[in-house]
Amino acid sequence: MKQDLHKYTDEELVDFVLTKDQRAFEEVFNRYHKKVVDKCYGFLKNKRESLEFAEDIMSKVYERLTSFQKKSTFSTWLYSITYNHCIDHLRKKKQLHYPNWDREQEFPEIPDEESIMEDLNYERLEAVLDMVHPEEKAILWMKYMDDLSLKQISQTLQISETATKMRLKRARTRVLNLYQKHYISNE
Amino acid sequence: MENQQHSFINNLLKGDRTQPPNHCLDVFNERFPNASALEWNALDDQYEVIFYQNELEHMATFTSDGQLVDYRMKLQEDLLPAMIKTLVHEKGELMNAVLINRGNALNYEIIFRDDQLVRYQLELDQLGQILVEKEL
Repeated sequence: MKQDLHKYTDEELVDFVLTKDQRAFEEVFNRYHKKVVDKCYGFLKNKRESLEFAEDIMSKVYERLTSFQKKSTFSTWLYSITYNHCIDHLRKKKQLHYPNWDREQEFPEIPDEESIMEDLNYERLEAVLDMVHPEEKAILWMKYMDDLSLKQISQTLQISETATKMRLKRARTRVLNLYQKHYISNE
Repeated sequence: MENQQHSFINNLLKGDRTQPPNHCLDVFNERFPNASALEWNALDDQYEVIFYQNELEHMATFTSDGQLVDYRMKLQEDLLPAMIKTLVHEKGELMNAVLINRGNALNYEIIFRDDQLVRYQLELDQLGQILVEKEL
Protein backbone atom coordinates (compact mmCIF):
# COMPACT_ATOMS: atom_id res chain seq x y z
CA MET A 1 0.00 0.00 0.00
CA LYS A 2 2.85 2.35 0.90
CA GLN A 3 4.25 1.88 -2.61
CA ASP A 4 0.96 3.12 -4.00
CA LEU A 5 1.46 6.50 -2.35
CA HIS A 6 4.47 7.17 -4.58
CA LYS A 7 2.07 7.61 -7.48
CA TYR A 8 0.32 10.62 -6.02
CA THR A 9 1.22 14.26 -6.29
CA ASP A 10 2.11 16.25 -3.18
CA GLU A 11 -1.23 18.02 -3.33
CA GLU A 12 -3.13 14.73 -3.52
CA LEU A 13 -1.19 13.45 -0.53
CA VAL A 14 -2.18 16.56 1.42
CA ASP A 15 -5.82 15.78 0.64
CA PHE A 16 -5.30 12.25 1.96
CA VAL A 17 -3.75 13.56 5.17
CA LEU A 18 -6.67 15.91 5.65
CA THR A 19 -9.04 12.96 5.35
CA LYS A 20 -7.10 11.32 8.18
CA ASP A 21 -4.79 9.04 6.21
CA GLN A 22 -1.65 9.46 8.32
CA ARG A 23 0.47 7.25 6.05
CA ALA A 24 0.21 9.96 3.41
CA PHE A 25 2.14 12.35 5.66
CA GLU A 26 4.90 9.75 6.02
CA GLU A 27 5.26 9.90 2.25
CA VAL A 28 5.35 13.72 2.33
CA PHE A 29 7.95 13.53 5.10
CA ASN A 30 10.09 11.09 3.11
CA ARG A 31 9.93 13.30 0.04
CA TYR A 32 10.91 16.53 1.77
CA HIS A 33 12.69 15.92 5.05
CA LYS A 34 16.19 15.73 3.55
CA LYS A 35 15.56 18.74 1.31
CA VAL A 36 14.46 20.76 4.33
CA VAL A 37 17.54 19.62 6.30
CA ASP A 38 19.78 20.73 3.41
CA LYS A 39 18.08 24.11 3.21
CA CYS A 40 18.45 24.66 6.94
CA TYR A 41 22.10 23.62 6.76
CA GLY A 42 22.62 26.29 4.10
CA PHE A 43 21.85 28.89 6.80
CA LEU A 44 22.89 27.24 10.04
CA LYS A 45 26.04 25.36 8.94
CA ASN A 46 25.46 22.89 11.75
CA LYS A 47 24.23 19.33 11.07
CA ARG A 48 22.62 18.62 14.42
CA GLU A 49 20.83 21.97 14.52
CA SER A 50 19.67 21.52 10.91
CA LEU A 51 18.14 18.14 11.77
CA GLU A 52 16.33 19.62 14.78
CA PHE A 53 15.09 22.53 12.67
CA ALA A 54 13.82 20.17 9.98
CA GLU A 55 11.87 18.18 12.60
CA ASP A 56 10.29 21.39 13.90
CA ILE A 57 9.49 22.59 10.38
CA MET A 58 7.88 19.29 9.34
CA SER A 59 5.75 19.37 12.52
CA LYS A 60 4.75 22.93 11.75
CA VAL A 61 3.83 21.91 8.20
CA TYR A 62 1.68 19.07 9.52
CA GLU A 63 -0.11 21.36 11.97
CA ARG A 64 -0.76 23.96 9.29
CA LEU A 65 -1.87 21.66 6.47
CA THR A 66 -5.46 22.91 6.70
CA SER A 67 -4.20 26.40 5.82
CA PHE A 68 -2.53 25.21 2.58
CA GLN A 69 -4.82 26.70 -0.04
CA LYS A 70 -3.14 25.34 -3.18
CA LYS A 71 -2.47 28.84 -4.51
CA SER A 72 1.11 27.66 -5.03
CA THR A 73 2.59 24.18 -5.22
CA PHE A 74 2.95 22.31 -1.95
CA SER A 75 6.75 22.42 -2.17
CA THR A 76 6.73 26.23 -2.54
CA TRP A 77 4.45 26.52 0.48
CA LEU A 78 6.62 24.15 2.53
CA TYR A 79 9.79 26.02 1.59
CA SER A 80 8.25 29.37 2.54
CA ILE A 81 7.69 27.91 6.03
CA THR A 82 11.29 26.63 6.03
CA TYR A 83 12.76 30.04 5.11
CA ASN A 84 10.51 31.79 7.59
CA HIS A 85 11.66 29.48 10.40
CA CYS A 86 15.37 29.93 9.58
CA ILE A 87 15.22 33.70 9.08
CA ASP A 88 13.22 34.18 12.25
CA HIS A 89 15.89 32.24 14.15
CA LEU A 90 18.76 34.20 12.59
CA ARG A 91 17.11 37.52 13.38
CA LYS A 92 16.04 36.74 16.93
CA LYS A 93 18.66 34.34 18.27
CA LYS A 94 21.71 35.29 16.23
CA GLN A 95 20.69 38.96 16.06
CA LEU A 96 21.61 39.20 12.40
CA HIS A 97 20.75 42.65 11.09
CA TYR A 98 20.60 43.05 7.33
CA PRO A 99 20.41 46.89 7.07
CA ASN A 100 23.50 47.34 9.27
CA TRP A 101 25.42 44.69 7.32
CA ASP A 102 24.42 46.23 3.98
CA ARG A 103 25.53 49.70 5.11
CA GLU A 104 28.98 48.34 5.88
CA GLN A 105 29.42 46.79 2.43
CA GLU A 106 30.86 48.56 -0.57
CA PHE A 107 28.31 49.16 -3.32
CA PRO A 108 28.64 46.14 -5.64
CA GLU A 109 29.92 47.20 -9.05
CA ILE A 110 27.63 46.21 -11.91
CA PRO A 111 29.00 42.86 -13.09
CA ASP A 112 29.69 41.95 -16.70
CA GLU A 113 26.99 39.30 -17.01
CA GLU A 114 28.18 38.11 -20.43
CA SER A 115 31.53 36.97 -19.07
CA ILE A 116 29.95 35.26 -16.08
CA MET A 117 27.37 33.51 -18.24
CA GLU A 118 30.06 31.53 -20.01
CA ASP A 119 31.55 30.08 -16.88
CA LEU A 120 29.13 29.87 -13.98
CA ASN A 121 29.47 26.73 -11.91
CA TYR A 122 27.36 25.72 -8.94
CA GLU A 123 30.14 24.89 -6.45
CA ARG A 124 31.73 28.29 -6.93
CA LEU A 125 28.35 29.98 -6.79
CA GLU A 126 27.64 28.24 -3.48
CA ALA A 127 30.95 29.54 -2.12
CA VAL A 128 29.95 33.07 -3.15
CA LEU A 129 26.50 32.68 -1.58
CA ASP A 130 28.24 31.92 1.71
CA MET A 131 30.04 35.28 1.48
CA VAL A 132 26.84 37.35 1.48
CA HIS A 133 24.35 37.98 4.27
CA PRO A 134 22.04 34.99 4.94
CA GLU A 135 19.02 37.15 4.04
CA GLU A 136 20.52 37.84 0.60
CA LYS A 137 21.21 34.14 0.13
CA ALA A 138 17.64 33.37 1.22
CA ILE A 139 16.04 35.88 -1.14
CA LEU A 140 18.00 34.45 -4.11
CA TRP A 141 17.09 30.87 -3.22
CA MET A 142 13.43 31.80 -2.67
CA LYS A 143 13.14 33.56 -6.01
CA TYR A 144 15.45 31.64 -8.34
CA MET A 145 15.52 28.13 -6.84
CA ASP A 146 12.14 27.60 -5.19
CA ASP A 147 10.04 29.98 -7.27
CA LEU A 148 8.31 31.69 -4.35
CA SER A 149 6.11 34.59 -5.42
CA LEU A 150 7.09 38.15 -4.51
CA LYS A 151 4.22 38.16 -2.05
CA GLN A 152 5.51 35.01 -0.32
CA ILE A 153 9.05 36.41 -0.21
CA SER A 154 7.78 39.72 1.23
CA GLN A 155 5.81 37.88 3.89
CA THR A 156 8.77 35.69 4.79
CA LEU A 157 11.18 38.63 5.11
CA GLN A 158 8.49 40.93 6.57
CA ILE A 159 9.22 43.72 4.14
CA SER A 160 7.11 45.43 1.45
CA GLU A 161 7.01 44.18 -2.15
CA THR A 162 8.95 47.27 -3.28
CA ALA A 163 11.67 46.57 -0.71
CA THR A 164 11.68 42.92 -1.80
CA LYS A 165 12.29 43.83 -5.45
CA MET A 166 15.08 46.26 -4.54
CA ARG A 167 16.73 43.81 -2.16
CA LEU A 168 16.54 41.08 -4.77
CA LYS A 169 18.22 43.36 -7.27
CA ARG A 170 21.00 44.19 -4.83
CA ALA A 171 21.52 40.54 -3.82
CA ARG A 172 21.74 39.40 -7.44
CA THR A 173 24.13 42.22 -8.34
CA ARG A 174 26.34 41.54 -5.32
CA VAL A 175 26.54 37.79 -5.92
CA LEU A 176 27.35 38.12 -9.62
CA ASN A 177 29.87 40.84 -8.81
CA LEU A 178 31.60 38.68 -6.18
CA TYR A 179 31.61 35.74 -8.58
CA GLN A 180 33.26 37.86 -11.24
CA LYS A 181 35.78 39.26 -8.77
CA HIS A 182 36.78 35.87 -7.35
CA TYR A 183 36.51 33.55 -10.32
CA ILE A 184 36.53 35.47 -13.59
CA SER A 185 38.80 38.49 -13.22
CA ASN A 186 41.70 36.40 -11.82
CA GLU A 187 41.61 33.64 -14.42
CA MET B 1 19.58 17.78 -7.62
CA GLU B 2 21.75 18.67 -10.62
CA ASN B 3 18.66 19.83 -12.47
CA GLN B 4 17.74 22.07 -9.57
CA GLN B 5 21.25 23.57 -9.49
CA HIS B 6 21.19 24.09 -13.24
CA SER B 7 17.83 25.83 -13.17
CA PHE B 8 18.95 28.01 -10.22
CA ILE B 9 21.97 29.17 -12.22
CA ASN B 10 19.87 29.81 -15.32
CA ASN B 11 17.19 31.72 -13.43
CA LEU B 12 19.75 33.79 -11.53
CA LEU B 13 21.55 34.76 -14.72
CA LYS B 14 18.39 35.46 -16.64
CA GLY B 15 16.85 37.82 -14.05
CA ASP B 16 13.89 39.66 -15.58
CA ARG B 17 14.34 40.08 -19.32
CA THR B 18 11.02 41.39 -20.62
CA GLN B 19 11.31 43.55 -23.73
CA PRO B 20 9.23 46.71 -23.11
CA PRO B 21 7.40 48.62 -25.87
CA ASN B 22 9.45 51.38 -27.56
CA HIS B 23 7.19 54.10 -26.07
CA CYS B 24 8.31 53.02 -22.60
CA LEU B 25 11.96 52.80 -23.58
CA ASP B 26 11.97 56.27 -25.14
CA VAL B 27 10.40 57.94 -22.11
CA PHE B 28 12.64 55.95 -19.78
CA ASN B 29 15.86 56.93 -21.59
CA GLU B 30 14.83 60.57 -21.54
CA ARG B 31 13.93 60.58 -17.83
CA PHE B 32 16.80 58.41 -16.57
CA PRO B 33 19.79 58.94 -18.88
CA ASN B 34 22.32 57.61 -16.34
CA ALA B 35 20.51 54.38 -15.50
CA SER B 36 22.38 51.07 -15.60
CA ALA B 37 21.67 47.34 -15.10
CA LEU B 38 18.07 47.58 -16.30
CA GLU B 39 15.63 44.72 -15.71
CA TRP B 40 12.17 45.13 -17.23
CA ASN B 41 9.17 43.20 -16.01
CA ALA B 42 5.66 43.03 -17.48
CA LEU B 43 2.89 43.55 -14.90
CA ASP B 44 -0.83 43.17 -15.75
CA ASP B 45 -1.13 46.15 -18.08
CA GLN B 46 2.03 48.02 -17.12
CA TYR B 47 5.79 47.70 -17.40
CA GLU B 48 8.14 48.05 -14.49
CA VAL B 49 11.88 48.57 -14.68
CA ILE B 50 14.35 48.23 -11.83
CA PHE B 51 17.77 49.77 -12.31
CA TYR B 52 20.70 51.54 -10.69
CA GLN B 53 21.34 55.23 -10.64
CA ASN B 54 23.87 56.89 -8.33
CA GLU B 55 24.54 53.51 -6.71
CA LEU B 56 20.96 53.17 -5.50
CA GLU B 57 18.10 50.96 -6.63
CA HIS B 58 15.36 52.75 -8.53
CA MET B 59 12.10 51.44 -9.96
CA ALA B 60 9.85 53.07 -12.54
CA THR B 61 6.42 51.94 -13.72
CA PHE B 62 4.96 52.81 -17.12
CA THR B 63 1.63 52.26 -18.85
CA SER B 64 2.01 50.31 -22.09
CA ASP B 65 1.74 53.57 -24.08
CA GLY B 66 4.72 55.01 -22.23
CA GLN B 67 3.20 57.19 -19.48
CA LEU B 68 5.30 57.23 -16.32
CA VAL B 69 3.03 56.11 -13.46
CA ASP B 70 5.52 56.43 -10.62
CA TYR B 71 9.13 55.98 -9.69
CA ARG B 72 10.67 54.77 -6.49
CA MET B 73 14.15 55.16 -5.10
CA LYS B 74 15.84 53.43 -2.16
CA LEU B 75 16.84 56.02 0.42
CA GLN B 76 19.67 55.99 2.88
CA GLU B 77 18.61 57.16 6.32
CA ASP B 78 20.57 60.43 6.08
CA LEU B 79 18.47 61.48 3.07
CA LEU B 80 15.17 61.21 4.93
CA PRO B 81 13.57 64.54 5.92
CA ALA B 82 14.32 65.29 9.58
CA MET B 83 10.68 65.28 10.68
CA ILE B 84 10.12 61.81 9.19
CA LYS B 85 13.33 60.52 10.72
CA THR B 86 12.27 61.80 14.14
CA LEU B 87 8.80 60.30 13.82
CA VAL B 88 10.22 56.89 12.84
CA HIS B 89 12.76 56.93 15.66
CA GLU B 90 9.96 57.57 18.14
CA LYS B 91 8.24 54.42 16.89
CA GLY B 92 11.21 52.07 16.56
CA GLU B 93 14.21 51.20 14.42
CA LEU B 94 14.30 52.09 10.73
CA MET B 95 14.75 48.98 8.57
CA ASN B 96 14.11 50.35 5.06
CA ALA B 97 13.15 53.60 3.35
CA VAL B 98 11.93 54.28 -0.17
CA LEU B 99 10.99 57.58 -1.81
CA ILE B 100 7.88 57.33 -4.03
CA ASN B 101 7.26 59.97 -6.70
CA ARG B 102 3.71 59.64 -7.99
CA GLY B 103 2.47 62.55 -10.13
CA ASN B 104 3.36 65.67 -8.18
CA ALA B 105 3.41 63.94 -4.83
CA LEU B 106 6.50 62.77 -2.98
CA ASN B 107 5.76 60.09 -0.41
CA TYR B 108 7.95 57.89 1.76
CA GLU B 109 7.56 54.16 2.35
CA ILE B 110 9.13 53.23 5.65
CA ILE B 111 9.65 49.87 7.32
CA PHE B 112 10.48 49.94 11.01
CA ARG B 113 10.52 47.44 13.84
CA ASP B 114 9.55 47.94 17.44
CA ASP B 115 11.41 46.67 20.50
CA GLN B 116 9.63 43.30 20.19
CA LEU B 117 11.07 43.03 16.63
CA VAL B 118 7.56 43.34 15.12
CA ARG B 119 7.77 45.08 11.76
CA TYR B 120 5.45 47.75 10.41
CA GLN B 121 5.09 49.53 7.09
CA LEU B 122 4.25 53.22 6.91
CA GLU B 123 3.53 55.48 3.97
CA LEU B 124 3.92 59.16 4.76
CA ASP B 125 3.58 62.33 2.73
CA GLN B 126 6.24 65.04 2.59
CA LEU B 127 4.79 66.73 5.67
CA GLY B 128 5.09 63.59 7.73
CA GLN B 129 1.36 62.77 7.68
CA ILE B 130 0.84 59.02 7.96
CA LEU B 131 -1.22 57.80 5.00
CA VAL B 132 -0.93 54.06 5.63
CA GLU B 133 0.27 52.10 8.65
CA LYS B 134 0.16 48.32 8.83
CA GLU B 135 1.88 45.46 10.59
CA LEU B 136 3.94 43.27 8.28
